[in-house]
Parts: sequence; C-alpha cells; structure tokens
Amino acid sequence: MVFPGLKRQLEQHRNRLYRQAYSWCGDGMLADDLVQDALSKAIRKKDQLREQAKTEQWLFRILHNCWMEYLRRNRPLTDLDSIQLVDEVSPEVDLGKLQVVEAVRYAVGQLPIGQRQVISLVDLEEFKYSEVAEILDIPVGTVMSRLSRARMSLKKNLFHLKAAPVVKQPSLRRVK
Amino acid sequence: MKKQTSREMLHALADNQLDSKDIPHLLEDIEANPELQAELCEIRRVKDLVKYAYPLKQSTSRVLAARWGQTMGKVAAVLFLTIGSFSLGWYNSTIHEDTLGNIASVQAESNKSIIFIGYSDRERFQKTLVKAEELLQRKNNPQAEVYVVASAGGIDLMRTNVSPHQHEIKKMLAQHDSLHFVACNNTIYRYKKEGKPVNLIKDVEVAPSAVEFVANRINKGWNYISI
Repeated sequence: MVFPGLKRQLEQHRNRLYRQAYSWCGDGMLADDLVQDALSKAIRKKDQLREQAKTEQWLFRILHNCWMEYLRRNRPLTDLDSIQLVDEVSPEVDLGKLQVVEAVRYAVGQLPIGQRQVISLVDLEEFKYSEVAEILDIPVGTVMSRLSRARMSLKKNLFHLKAAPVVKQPSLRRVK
Repeated sequence: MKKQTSREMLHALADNQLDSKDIPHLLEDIEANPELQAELCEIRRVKDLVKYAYPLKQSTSRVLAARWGQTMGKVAAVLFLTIGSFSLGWYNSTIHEDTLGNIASVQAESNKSIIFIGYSDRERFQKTLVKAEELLQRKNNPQAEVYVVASAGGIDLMRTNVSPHQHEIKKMLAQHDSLHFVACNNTIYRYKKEGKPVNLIKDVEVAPSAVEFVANRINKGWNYISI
C-alpha cells in the first residue's frame, strides 16, 4: 500500500533525520549523504511501509541501516560497539576552552556507536525504548543498558558542565 | 531492588517510559534515598545537555534527487560560475567591510572573561579569586569585564556564612565595577529542596542556569576559564 503525500511527509522528517545522523557520525556532509540515501531508499521501498503511523520508526530504521552499511564499507571486521570516534581534540586539550555545545558533542562522539545511537534516539527524538529496540533491531534490555552506560560516561566527561541549560529566562536579577 | 536495576529504572523514569503502576514505588524509593535523587538529577542534566548540543536545524536542503533536477543543477552551476566571476569584484568590496566589523566585534568581546567554578573546594576558591584579580589587572581597560560564575558546589564561594572569602569578595566588588559574581539558580533551587537555605553575599547576581549563561557568552566570543 502506498500512502498519499508520502514524499512530502518524508521531506518533513529531513531535519530530524539529519540531526540524528549528525549525532551518530559527527560529520555534517556525511550526515547529509546518509539522510539523502535514506530518503531515496524510503521512496524506492515505499511499498514496504505497512502502517502509516509507524512512518517515523521506519525512516529511522532505514537511516540506521544506511549508517551501518557505511560503517561496513569503511570499517570492515570491526566490532561496532568498540568503535570510538576520533576527534582532532586530544585529551590534553583543556575542554574548558571548548564551547559547551562542542564539549557535549565531543563527549557524545567518544561513546561507542551503539550507545551513541541509543542516546540520540531517546534524548533527541524521544522514541520509546521499544521503538528504539525496533529501529536498531536489538532487545529492549540492551537499549536500557546501553543508555545507562552512555549517560554514565557523559556524566563523567561533562562533570564541568554541572547545571542543566534552560532555554528561557536568560536575564539576570540582582540579589539585595 | 538491585543497584543496576535501580539505575535503569531511574533512566526509564527520566525518559517517561515507565508504566503508571511502577512510578509510585520508584518515587517512594527516590524520596527515601538522597543518592537516587542525585542520580536522577544527573540523568536529567545529561539529557538536557544532549538536547542542547543538537538543536533541530535546517539540513543543507537538497531536494530529493530527480534526474531533471540534477541536469538543471549542472546548468545552474555553469550559469552561477559565469555570473559569479563578474560579480566577484563587487562582492569583495562589500564583504571586506562586514568582515572588519565582525573582527572588531569579536575583539571587543575578547576583553570579557568568564571564570567558572563548579566545586566546593577551598583551594579552587582561592584560585578563582586570584585569577579574577589577575584578569582585571591584566586587561586594565574600560571594556574589560570578568564574570565569576558558580554552579553546583561552587556557589559555596558566594554564600554568606559558608564562603571563607566573604569579605574579600565584597572588597573586590567594591573596587571593580566590571567584576560580577553570578550564582546558578538551578543549584540554589536544589540546595533549597535539600533543606539548605542559600544566602548569597550582597551584590552576587543570579542566573537561571549557569550552563546557559556561560554558553551564551562563549558563543559571543568571551574567554572561558574553568577552575
């Protein structure tokens, strides 16, 4: 079954897919390529979408497959969980000099790929654990343990950014 | 409840993934255990930081590839290069001024510094004040500004009856108009929830979130020093 307006619907997800891909690979151009690849595949395989309500999971699953395919092509014979993103910033560099956003992205980039994918799908896209399990084709228990380990690592590596960012109320008030 | 199970349950609670029947029991556990409360707080902070680091933005918009589109793209590229070469001279003359303006703005912001302290530690308190004084002396110009920003244990530096440097801070504030001490309201709120009232030294300012305060200024080109 082909759902009407699917192409437009897919385009609407582009930015979210891009953010997800970027959080996985840390490279804007590669993220863009992955999203393009995923959307093209989604259009080619549109007949495989059984429930319109599950379009999001289906798309993120395709994106995940594109990412895995890319890794297989570029890093053969490597355990995916053992891959660490190498950043040009060495541990000796004072993280305090980096911007907060860069510090967080750096810390996320240090996570094993499996953990990175889980944390970004849960925290950025707010998918349920069961949906993440479906997208990544892993058990729910693995989602939970990866998430727990990922956050432990981030907590350790982002200890200097103690407070949570609040988007609103940027002003100061003076205490008398 | 096993420790590992508790941790995963906490994550599930923070992610709003628990069944409503499981929540009351977990909340009881959390209420009775300050360690779990702190852990939950940390999980939420990490979640917020991750969200903050990856805002939803426009990707470099490429319309889904169609053959005619690719062909037209090539034609457009040739036209762009042709027209672009004619207009390059004009472009250079305008961009030069913009660039100079940006450089001036960045230079102005580089006179401003943030010293961030996140620990209740006497040695770090001392270092913070020494660094602030050093920056004010070194900059020695009317545009120089130094913000000492405290979060978590670091706000002890700015609490009356807790800070070992209360008088020194008051003296420094009286001496330097361009020196500011800023405490994180998230931390103050947490202290209050833990039954620790927070009284700040006079003229200490409060920011809703230290992280956001620091991030906004770093983005503007301020210097950042973490103690």
